[in-house]
Amino acid sequence: MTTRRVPVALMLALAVLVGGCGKADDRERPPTRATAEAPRYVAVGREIGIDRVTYCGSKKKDHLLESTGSGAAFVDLDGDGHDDVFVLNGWALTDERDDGDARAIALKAPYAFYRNRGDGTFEERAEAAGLTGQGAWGCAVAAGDIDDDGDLDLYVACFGRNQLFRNLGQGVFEEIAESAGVADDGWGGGAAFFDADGDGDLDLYLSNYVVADVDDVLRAKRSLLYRGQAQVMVGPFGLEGGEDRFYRNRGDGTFEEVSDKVGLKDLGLGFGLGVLAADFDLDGDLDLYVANDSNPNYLYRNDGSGRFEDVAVVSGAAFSNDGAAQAGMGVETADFDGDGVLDIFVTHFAQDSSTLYRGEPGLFFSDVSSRSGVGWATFIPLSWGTLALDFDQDGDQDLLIANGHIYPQVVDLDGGQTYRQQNQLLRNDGGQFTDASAAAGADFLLAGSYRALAWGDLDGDLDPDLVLTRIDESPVVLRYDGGRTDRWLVVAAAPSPYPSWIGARIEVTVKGATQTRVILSGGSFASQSCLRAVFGLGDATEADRVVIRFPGGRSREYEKVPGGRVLRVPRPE
Amino acid sequence: MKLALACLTLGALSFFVSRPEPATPAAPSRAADTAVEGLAKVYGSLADSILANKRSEKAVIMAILTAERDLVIDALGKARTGDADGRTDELQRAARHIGEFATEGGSIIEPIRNRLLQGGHHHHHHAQDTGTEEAYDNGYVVVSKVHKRSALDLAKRCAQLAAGNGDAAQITAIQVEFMALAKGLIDE
Repeated sequence: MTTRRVPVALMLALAVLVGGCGKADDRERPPTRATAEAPRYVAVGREIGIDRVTYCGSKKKDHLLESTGSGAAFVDLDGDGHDDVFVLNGWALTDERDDGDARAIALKAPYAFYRNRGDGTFEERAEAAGLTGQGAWGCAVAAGDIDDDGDLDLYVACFGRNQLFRNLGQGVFEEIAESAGVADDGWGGGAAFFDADGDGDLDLYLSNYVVADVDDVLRAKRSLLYRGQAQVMVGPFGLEGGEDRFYRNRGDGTFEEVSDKVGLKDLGLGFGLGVLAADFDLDGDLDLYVANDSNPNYLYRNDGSGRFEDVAVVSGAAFSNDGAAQAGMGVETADFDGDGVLDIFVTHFAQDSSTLYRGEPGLFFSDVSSRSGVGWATFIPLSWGTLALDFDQDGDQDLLIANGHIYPQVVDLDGGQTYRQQNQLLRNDGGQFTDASAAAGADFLLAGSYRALAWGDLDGDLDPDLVLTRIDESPVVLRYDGGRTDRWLVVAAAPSPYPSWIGARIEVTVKGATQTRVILSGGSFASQSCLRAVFGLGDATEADRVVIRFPGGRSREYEKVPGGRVLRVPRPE
Repeated sequence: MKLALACLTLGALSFFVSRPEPATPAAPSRAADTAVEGLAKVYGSLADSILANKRSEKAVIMAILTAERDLVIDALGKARTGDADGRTDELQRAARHIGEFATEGGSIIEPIRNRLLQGGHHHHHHAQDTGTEEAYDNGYVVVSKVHKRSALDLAKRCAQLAAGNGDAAQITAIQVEFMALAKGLIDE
């Protein structure tokens, strides 16, 4: 392993050069809030221009496709240093049926690309950017620089033919999935770019959810009796699982599907949704985790050459503690208990706990949902997108969870379930979690049927703002207010997220305690967050040490890094 | 058994309670009667086939479990006698097969199980409904939830042994525990 330690003086110079979210402008050192106001989230979507409704089928929801919602990305797509918001969209279907007993497509809604003007407001310019989606039903999105040209490209997993939007620069895209060899026409549930084989470019994993075509969707009927009380949509049990795909980047902008060749053939045909890649066993290569709905999850160990083996069952990360395959939706990884080993958090269906798999050395996991407090806190709602963020800046990773039921009919049932649900904040205290949702503010608790959850920075003040999508409503944009700017440390790639930045493990040590995050393509549910890591520094104003471990084994180290800034990290030499 | 008897009793009672009054005699249709009798025979044969298929299903799963058990024993045996490198590989192999034992065949069986569930087939329909410790996961035939949990735990411990390159005594302990588990499930 090559370690490059950067002297303090050079590090400070770098920090000054490249502060803020991007360029060396007046945002390099945001106005410091030295007086702590209690942090909270404030909804600002409509006032800043992010307000297009995302559609997901009919009102009554007769097919499973009408349950999974639209993905969202909160990343800088035009390279101006400000995070933009990209929101996918689906179709509106009628509840009425024609003579052939089929519903009709009322609207194929376009995607929205909200360009951040840099002043806290946004302009929708999907048409000019080539990002309308051309009437596709977009499900999930992942970002990465597939051609290493310094800007972020986008992969959209659709119901139907998937899309690869190559960034031509300055936020203009061309759709090249077909010529690039990644135009799978299944029902994509999630995707992630990562360098699987260590050749320096980003490969792509696509999880597919269920096998279905448009005719199945339009003719579907609610034939499942839920809790003996309501007729609801069928699935995923009763439907056929889609086959996941792995595409190797040839290095020339095209990909080849090599799932079988590298040990990633989807033998289980699980109902695949959330995907992320991280070096769980600290051996220098990126492993892969796939959350499957109602089937065992996959954990593929990378042997260092780009060949994989599914070790989920023997590692303890396939099932819950009682051996049950749960309804995996969203997925997140971080070191929640500060022991230096990455943990995995997976969100699940209503009246079943989300699961916190505590990482153990050697690529093993234990379900600690009950003893960590996560189990009880998450039992009631139906959970989707999830993020590890230090909401209260106390030096550990809290959990944010987007909730919402899939059956509109649950409002008529006994048992206290609702279709529109509140999101959750689980506060971490030494690996023990308590529901602190109320502390995140009334807007955070606004009920909806939420799905995607991504973070970025709306206003260049370093703190983590949120974008969430809701079924059949406009996205919710939550601005983080309060807290102390000087107690944040943001770590970003310089000048832009280069391929080896994806999967980088970032360790920040403050007063002897180390926080660990991983830069993820994909993750959460159907979402792409900005490709940075944000750390709360507790009551300190600087980090004693920051270590970045890149896939492949190289690393960079920084010492005495002040808070209230962005530490920009050049690619490893 | 008690549940089955209760169902039968309830079924018989409901038959007598809900049996309709004899309708006004109509002209007997000898051909229709014959057709129903014939179809009843067909249905009876079909029932034989369905139940035989269910027994075959169990036999196939038993055969899978037996094969997995033999692979586990083989791997653990080689792990006990092999050198350090070989021991790690064999323990990993044993762990994988214990995992496949726990899941009645591993990943390659999942799509088949899902397909059966898609068609409405549950081998243990009543066990699903009881919610007791003896209940089976969706589509599982032989390995109950309790046995599955035990086997999964053993698979993980075996894999951890591989990571730590366990000694002969530890390997024997895994084998003893696994054999006890397997013996309870596989009809010899």
